[in-house]
Amino acid sequence: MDDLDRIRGHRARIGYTVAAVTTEVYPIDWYRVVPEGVSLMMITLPLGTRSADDLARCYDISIEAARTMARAGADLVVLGGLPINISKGGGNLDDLMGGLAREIGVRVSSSAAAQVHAFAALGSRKVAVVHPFEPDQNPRHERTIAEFFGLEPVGVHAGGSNLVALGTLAPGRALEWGRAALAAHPEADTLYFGCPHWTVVDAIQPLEDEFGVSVLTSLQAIAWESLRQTGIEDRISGFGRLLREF
Amino acid sequence: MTDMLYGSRARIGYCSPPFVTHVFAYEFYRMVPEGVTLMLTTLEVAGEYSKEAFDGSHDRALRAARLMAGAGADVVVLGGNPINQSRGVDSLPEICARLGEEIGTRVVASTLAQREAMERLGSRKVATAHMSGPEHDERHHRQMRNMGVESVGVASMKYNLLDYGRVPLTAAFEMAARLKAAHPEADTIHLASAHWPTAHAIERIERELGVDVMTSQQAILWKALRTAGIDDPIEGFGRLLREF
Repeated sequence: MDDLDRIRGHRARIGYTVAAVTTEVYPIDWYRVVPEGVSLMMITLPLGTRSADDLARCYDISIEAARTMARAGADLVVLGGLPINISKGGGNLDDLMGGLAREIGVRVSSSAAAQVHAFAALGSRKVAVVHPFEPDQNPRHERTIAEFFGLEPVGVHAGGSNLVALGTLAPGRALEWGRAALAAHPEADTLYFGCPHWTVVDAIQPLEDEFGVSVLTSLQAIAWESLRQTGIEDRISGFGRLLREF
Repeated sequence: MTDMLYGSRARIGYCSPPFVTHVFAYEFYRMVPEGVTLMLTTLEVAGEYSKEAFDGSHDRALRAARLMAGAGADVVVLGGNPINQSRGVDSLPEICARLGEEIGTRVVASTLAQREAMERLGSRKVATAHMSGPEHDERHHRQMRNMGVESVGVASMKYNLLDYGRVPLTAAFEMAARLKAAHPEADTIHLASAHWPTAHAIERIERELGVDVMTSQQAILWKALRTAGIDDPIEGFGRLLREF
């Protein structure tokens, strides 16, 4: 039964810029992870080839969207898409978020910052990566772990799918690929699932239990950052240490 | 852990007019059966209802529809009654058919979904509640007439499109009750726009006010589900989803 004196998102309303033309999995998993009363405002970005021009255009739309979300009552705006976030250079990200927050009067974070904070909370040092794309993306992921997050990449497992097919990946794929990554790289203390637009949330807890590692996913980190930044300290079970312990 | 993908029964693409979309996804998952997913692309309508925004949104919707079809959507919905109607209601069947043929996926327009929903319900005299200011009343009267029914009344609020997420949950029933009191001849209450919270109120309005309810989102979902071959009678969200 709804409390009729409330609005949708009465605890927190999170604005998120989706780094994809179309989003399918993200809102499903978002509403599975966050507590009742936390809502999601979205804009989809026309991300295509990931060329410099493409990233710059998405970046500009993200900034405009942040302003719009603030006007629409967001409690926090999260700029999505790690490649877009860091396209102006990772060092500028804090300045960007701080300046934008001052301008729009609403707190601003980013998927990149969320993941930085999440890795720090988990105490991660040696990171194995699973992403759903072709292996030609492996070097980019290794570089991001080493250069942006400042952690040691111990190996990358590519799922072999593509952006268009992400919604057709069954929940079992993340578990299967996570097991393969951790079997190949037992020195990892953290397993990182890149990209929040394929379904990963059901693999987090089983992999943590089975391998004794921390599991960090893009969506889980964004949800965690969103909750904690808006003062929601609920400990959430079922989706890993990050949401349960920090 | 399952090998069944989220949208195992149907994947519905929706081109969502508001530049920032908030309530739609939440309400969608309250109403659809398990195994049905939403593929969402946001368009360009911010605060202003301008020809430029409608044209830009229509063009972007066509591009999004192609991408959604490529990604496996079973149905694509061209959202936004004002955007749809800006192309002319009589043109919409051909626009949908031609696009569907091009992209290999069935295409539905929000306006046509609402018109068909009212036909199924047997609606003749419709009273509309919308969230924007009274300056939009005449447009809502016109939109209803364009869909072939008599528009007996319109009630408005004063929200900007981007503020629809701030509409309290009480609004839908209260406005419906106000409309029915002012226009007792209404056989159907239309809660216009798919971007404010209405799903929770449909059943109560039908039961307590003795009218049928057609909300934009309910009609869109109904048409998309039935077009995708999902004929489940759905309880709790009005006659439309339960009986047709």
